[in-house]
Amino acid sequence: MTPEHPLLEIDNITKSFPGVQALRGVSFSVQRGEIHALVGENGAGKSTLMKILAGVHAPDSGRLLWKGTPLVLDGTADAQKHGIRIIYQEFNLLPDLTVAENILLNQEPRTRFGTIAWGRMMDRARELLTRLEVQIDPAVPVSALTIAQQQIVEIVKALAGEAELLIMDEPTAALNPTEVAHLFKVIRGLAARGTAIIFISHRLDEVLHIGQRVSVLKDGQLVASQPCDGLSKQEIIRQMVGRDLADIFPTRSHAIANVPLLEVRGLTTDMLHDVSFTLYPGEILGFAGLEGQGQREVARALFGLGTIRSGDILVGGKPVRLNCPQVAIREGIVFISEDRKSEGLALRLGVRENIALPNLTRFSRLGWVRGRTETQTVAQQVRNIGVKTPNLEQPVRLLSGGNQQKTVVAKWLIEQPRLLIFAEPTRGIDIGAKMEIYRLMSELAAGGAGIVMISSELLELLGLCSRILVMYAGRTCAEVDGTSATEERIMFAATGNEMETHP
Amino acid sequence: MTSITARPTLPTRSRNVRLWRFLRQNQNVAIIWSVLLVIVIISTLLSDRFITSRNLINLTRQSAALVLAGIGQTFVLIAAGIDLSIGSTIGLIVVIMAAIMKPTPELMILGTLAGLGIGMLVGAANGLAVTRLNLSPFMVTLAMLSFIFGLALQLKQNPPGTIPAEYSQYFTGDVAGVPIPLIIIIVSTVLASLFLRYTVLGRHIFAVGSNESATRLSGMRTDRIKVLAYTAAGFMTGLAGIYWAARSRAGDPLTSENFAFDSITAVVLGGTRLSGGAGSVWGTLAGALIIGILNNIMNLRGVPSNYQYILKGLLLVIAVMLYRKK
Repeated sequence: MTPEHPLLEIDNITKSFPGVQALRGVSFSVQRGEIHALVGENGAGKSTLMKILAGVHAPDSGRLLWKGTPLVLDGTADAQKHGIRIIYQEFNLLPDLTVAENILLNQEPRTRFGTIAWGRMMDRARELLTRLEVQIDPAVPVSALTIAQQQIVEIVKALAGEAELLIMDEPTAALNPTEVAHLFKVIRGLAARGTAIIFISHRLDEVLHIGQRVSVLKDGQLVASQPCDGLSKQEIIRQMVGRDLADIFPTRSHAIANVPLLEVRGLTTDMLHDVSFTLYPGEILGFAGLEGQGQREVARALFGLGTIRSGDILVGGKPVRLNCPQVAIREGIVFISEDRKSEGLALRLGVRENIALPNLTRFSRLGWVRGRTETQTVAQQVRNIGVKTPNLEQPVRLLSGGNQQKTVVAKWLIEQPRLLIFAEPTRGIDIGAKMEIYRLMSELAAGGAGIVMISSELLELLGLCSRILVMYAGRTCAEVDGTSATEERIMFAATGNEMETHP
Repeated sequence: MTSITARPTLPTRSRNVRLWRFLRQNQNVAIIWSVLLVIVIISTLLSDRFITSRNLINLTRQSAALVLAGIGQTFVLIAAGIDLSIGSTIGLIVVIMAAIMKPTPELMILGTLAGLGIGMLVGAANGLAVTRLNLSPFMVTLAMLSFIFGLALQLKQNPPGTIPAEYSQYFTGDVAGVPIPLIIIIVSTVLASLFLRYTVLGRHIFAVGSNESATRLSGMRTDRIKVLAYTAAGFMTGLAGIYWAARSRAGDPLTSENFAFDSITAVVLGGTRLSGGAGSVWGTLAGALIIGILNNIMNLRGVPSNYQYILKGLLLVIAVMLYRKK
């Protein structure tokens, strides 16, 4: 253990999976007490690298050096023994057990009879919690805590396991700004005491705010590993996608009609309060906001998936009662869910069957599907949308994320909808497919359809939408012009700063 | 879109490529038919009485009811359900049919329709309970198993009713030298596979079993699809019950208790996925024939029936392991 060695050196790590080269010769190092951000597009190799550090995968070649000596990890338990802890987005907590039990799982203090010493366990848990200056009662079950508190419990649990390196995967995704600020305080406290943190995030503002260094992965390769000081967000994005922002989005040139396609007036559900907006044909209307502020519910209500308490929805000037997807589809409304694997596709079925599914009655006579019409129409659609698949019978679970998403879009375009709701349309897909989806959305709008777009990526909202509504606590709190607004402007509204100024 | 790389199935592809792809897409069916072939070869070696026309006709007679019940089970398993009530339902059907046809053999058609009706009614009831009450298919049909069994015992005549011999002839005899059970087996499998492949309902059954939320969000009435899947299965149970009445000629519900277990074993052997969304009646046919042949060859070799149960239990485990996800 010589002090001049970094805590962790990642040396020329390569890893491939069948059909994918996930990591190609990645090297960087992490110092004690360093907050090291790791960024990259989906599929860039972040999670593979993380799993190698956690001992889940073994690298194909290259090595890890831990305090200067080579480290070969044999499973998660081994990584933990060395002091490497990982906090996944999906927490590893037992919801019915108390905070103390979770924190000290597997290292419970014992009485001399071998039973658990409850009093000492509570004391120890409380001590660990106060060390991080957090107010959580160690005796309550984890299920009673907020997501932010559960996150803290995960950190404390890692701390109880004497973690020297803590890897956090998207720790802020579900937190509000106050909670984020608190989490950052905790992280800085840990770092000050010598724990190294690898902080994986999509939110580049946060990366620049908390990180000391940032490493950027693209297509399994390390593009840069650099200090955050003096680095701009634009520069990180350019490193991540390998292009300038201006080249990613199609130009907004088409005209927007002035007869409303969709009017929503005073929409109220369990989650939404008095949401009103209007959408015109040819327009892409964006919804921004922190996670869980009601954007998702707006999308679902428009597709008949919410219980509408009050308010009116007019499609083409005609009031409609959207109480199930069938009604929405009949009105020409389609929904591309943010969760394509569980709501968009039947993963085991083939491309043909997935695209045909909502259109089967169109292909059939007296309940019998006319296979030739079906295959021809689907094949045509696959060509138009550019779904890359070896054949039409390929199970969609074997397609890439981008092609899965294009399959979902393809199934809805056969009937030529007039209103499309895209929820997180580019989640988990690579930059090439993203650009194709953007272009497709732009073409649909140019063709006269109206598009409602929900996204947590402000850049894509700003790149595509003509107007953006910002939501906070189930209400729309601001409307900004898509061509002139900035991320700062939207985040200001999204954190609840404009509640009273909006009409 | 400029980057067109999709290559839909082209008719110009060579025959070998298409055959290979067909086998890959129907991998499970190909596996189980190969296993069936091996079992047939072994059986031939084990007993010189196995490949005789008399024994083969017997084999089709023994297997036809299971094929029919297995097809119904395939429908519900593809829809991510299960039907444990099949055996009891067949029991109820034979009791009712015997009660109608023993005193008045001329009411043959009524008896037959009653059998079909009971099957569909029980199936629809299963489907409605699963969807309306939002209960697990396992629990609903387990409860139905007991409920219908009790009903059948209650309605059973003492001594048990019988089915007229001439009725039996329609189902177990032959037409122009072809055994009717064989015709039943082939025709029902062909029709059922066409139903699953080429009807809107058949396709919806696959979709619901593969991903119910995605199917609902595609605008389908998933509850309706599930009720119809159970009813279609009930229709097949009705046919199985009618055949069973004709073959056993006894209005006794105790003769059909094994159908739920055997049909599930046949379906799982045939490669249909227990969690739904994938499966084939051609696989089920092979699975049912394997069970039939194993029973048959053990009878020919004089193995006590206790061992047949033990073997079927092992078979089910082997089948589940065979198709387990890698």
